[in-house]
Amino acid sequence: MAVSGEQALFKKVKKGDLDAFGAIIHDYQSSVFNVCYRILGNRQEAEDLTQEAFLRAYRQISKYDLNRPFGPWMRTLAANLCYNHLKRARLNRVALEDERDQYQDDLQPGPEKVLQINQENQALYGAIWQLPESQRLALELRHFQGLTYQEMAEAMKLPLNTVRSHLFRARHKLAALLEEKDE
Amino acid sequence: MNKPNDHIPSDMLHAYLDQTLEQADIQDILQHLDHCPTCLEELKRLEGIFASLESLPEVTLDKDLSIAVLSRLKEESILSRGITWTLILEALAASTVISLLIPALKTSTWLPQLIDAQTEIQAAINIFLTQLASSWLVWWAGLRLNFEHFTKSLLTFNSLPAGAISPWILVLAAAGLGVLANYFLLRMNPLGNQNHNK
Repeated sequence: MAVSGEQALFKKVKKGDLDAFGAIIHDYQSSVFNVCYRILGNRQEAEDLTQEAFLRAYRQISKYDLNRPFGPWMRTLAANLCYNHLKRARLNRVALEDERDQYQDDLQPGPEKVLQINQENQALYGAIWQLPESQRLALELRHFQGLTYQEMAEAMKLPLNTVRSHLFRARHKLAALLEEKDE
Repeated sequence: MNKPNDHIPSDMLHAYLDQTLEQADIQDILQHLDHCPTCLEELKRLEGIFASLESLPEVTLDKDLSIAVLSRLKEESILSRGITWTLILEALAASTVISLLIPALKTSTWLPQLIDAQTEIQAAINIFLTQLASSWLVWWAGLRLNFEHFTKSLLTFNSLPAGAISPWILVLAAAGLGVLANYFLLRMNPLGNQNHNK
């Protein structure tokens, strides 16, 4: 459930108050950006998709239940948006090749990024970005958003067993990729 | 894990770490782990992944995205109002055309028999339906498909190159074409011909 101050803000947003929505964006943009970054692996794209996620959230604000917390709703929306973006990109070979180049750029961070992420975490990010998009989404929803299997199945619009399979495979592949890097 | 020497199935280990197992299954797993180094090693491997993911630091967002988002939402709001005005303009254009077209047809010398009360009503209904369809198309195009370039061109009307046609004109022209098409369809309408032949 949104805290009382936030609830007042959301009531304003539902009436079309853009300034109130600005305050909401301000509070949640960092966590939403991180969802996008973990899934996409590219800072610029993550910023673009974060913006797109907030635009969609505003357009779909009537669907948001004030009695439930906004953060998980918003972050799940963003995760799905990124997942669909990756899926579309995979279908477009040229776009995918461009993205791979961009991912490589991200895996070789500039000095300011090194300050934020040490080598071990850099390897983990790199391994996450090598997972297929469905496994990346499953990992995000379970480990970073704390969704149950059932909630994941609803968010991903997939059968429960398929979602579990994506998650378990993601963990195994992640472990294998990190072990490969250690050797 | 039906037999004592069987290893713990992989999905059971995951479910154990996700804390989604029944108490009885947890007891079975703990008992098995006491004497199975292979399963214990696999569990530790997965626990390592859990721990790594949990400790993964967040990256810093070094800019405020709210400005860009709000700016786009304001643009959409302007577009939405613009479309409302478009609908009004379309309705006015259609009314004007209808009010001019029907008396003109009545006074023309080459189609006097075609025009009677029945065809007038039919024409009005057809034109109304054409207008309605085109209006909904505009709504759909603007709000659902979010034609960014189209909206940008509307919003940057003054920056259009010389000679470029305004999208507003195109919308009105489309409405006019709809009315004209309707008129010609009406001319070929068997009902109208029937009346003409009477």
